[in-house]
Amino acid sequence: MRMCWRPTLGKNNQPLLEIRNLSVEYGPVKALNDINLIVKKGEVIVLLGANGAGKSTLLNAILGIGPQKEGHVVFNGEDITTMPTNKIVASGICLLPEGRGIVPQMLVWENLQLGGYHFKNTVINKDMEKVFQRFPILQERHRQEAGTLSGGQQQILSIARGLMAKPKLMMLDEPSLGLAPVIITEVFDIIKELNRDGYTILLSEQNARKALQVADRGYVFEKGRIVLSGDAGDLEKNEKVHHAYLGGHL
Amino acid sequence: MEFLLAQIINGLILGGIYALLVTGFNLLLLEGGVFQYAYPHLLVLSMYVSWLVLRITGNNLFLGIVAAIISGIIFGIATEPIFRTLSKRGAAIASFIVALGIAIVITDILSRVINRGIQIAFPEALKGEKALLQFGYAIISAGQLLTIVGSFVAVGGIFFFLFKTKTGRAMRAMAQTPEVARLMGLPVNAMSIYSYALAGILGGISSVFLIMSLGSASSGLGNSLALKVLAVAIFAGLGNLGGGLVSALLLGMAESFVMGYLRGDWANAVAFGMIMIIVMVKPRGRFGMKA
Repeated sequence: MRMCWRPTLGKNNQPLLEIRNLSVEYGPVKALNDINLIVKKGEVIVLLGANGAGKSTLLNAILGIGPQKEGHVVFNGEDITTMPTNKIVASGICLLPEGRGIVPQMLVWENLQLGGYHFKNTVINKDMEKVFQRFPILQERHRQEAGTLSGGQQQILSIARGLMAKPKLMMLDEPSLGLAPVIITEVFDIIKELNRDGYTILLSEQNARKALQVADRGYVFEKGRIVLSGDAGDLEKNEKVHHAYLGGHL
Repeated sequence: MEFLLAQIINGLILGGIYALLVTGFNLLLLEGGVFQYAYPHLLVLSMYVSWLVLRITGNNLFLGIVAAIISGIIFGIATEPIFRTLSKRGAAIASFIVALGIAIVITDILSRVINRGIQIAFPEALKGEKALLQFGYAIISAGQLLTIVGSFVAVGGIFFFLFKTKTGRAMRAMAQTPEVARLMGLPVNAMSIYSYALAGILGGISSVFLIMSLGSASSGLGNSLALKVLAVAIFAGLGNLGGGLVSALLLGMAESFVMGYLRGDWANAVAFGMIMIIVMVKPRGRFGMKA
């Protein structure tokens, strides 16, 4: 277990992830319009905004999913804008999508194996052991069909699957969606723990309160643009953010 | 008694070949998302390639068999780009039309260009006619035994690959949840080509067994096989690998018994009658659709 991690810049003083002037169009609709943001190594960055504001589109675009992009995505100093998805995952980014991103008809351990597909079987088995130690519930149910797990357990499986890819950057799309409040707390505790262990986290959330509690910095999306950004603490105190996203939430 | 045995043996042979074909067909449907009607036609093409190689090499059996299998793989991989865009758009019916077109082209070429359209015959040696085992009047020849054992081994191998290996699991994940497979970082484009190659190997192996069982091939063989494969696949439930196996054996047995106990011309009618009834009672197939 690593000691408390202070955000530092990656190799050559570069941020881990840099988005430069990114735009994505779905036909006539500009889902993302000139997005600029950075994620430094060791940070937890949150993307806030309503449904359809472009958060998921951004996460998908980083992974190479979706229509052609204008602009650049630079990861660890490498331009991955046009890289195919499987190479991007191999280079150290994983995405845990909305709706869990698991294969429901396959067993829990099979899902984990697929998460670490790029690596040799010996490596995969060792990583699976580590994942079972971190999440004993998965060890318990490792021979169950993934689709039979509860929502919270599926989210944990999804996170574990992401870890199997040995990511440097973990991206989570709406991890709290559809989960009971108790489970949401558990999930965010896991996110905090992962960050303590050295994983850089980029997450999109509608549950602004919980997200700002774990994040270092945040960006607020509206209709495909970034309208606000800053330290999590500042965002939490910001009038507009409070009104739009923190007002009606539990 | 021996007559019954002979029909059972025959049924196993037919069933084994249909099992190979329907597994390859289902594989393409599940992995490639395409309705490859021309899959048996490619198989017949492999038979013709093998025949040509046999003629050129003076009936070198080994080369003939190798040619059949390798041409199966090549034809399989060659068709992948044809179906790629359709597969990405999930256009199964459009792929059926394209496959139909390929089937017509192949059938036409075979009936005009090769051997001036006359049926081709394979050397006796390849048929493996010599009796190996004997039960009174019922005999199993080496060729027949090889076909039965070979089909079981080949299909078993495919199932082992799909269910017990990492790559096989990845291919199944691609078939079940294509978006999730993609974002997990699975090499979906490469695996698509693998699945065509895999189906191609199955096709090539089937063509060898068909050569051994039939001893001849004609341009119309593709169409008659295609109808049977389609019927088995629909009877079982499209995409249902396990169900396809069972149904293939059922059809093989039914055909064999009809040919043995009733008249030969009734074989097709009985087979299709079976299928018609099951589809009316259970439209998603006897064992349920998985595609």
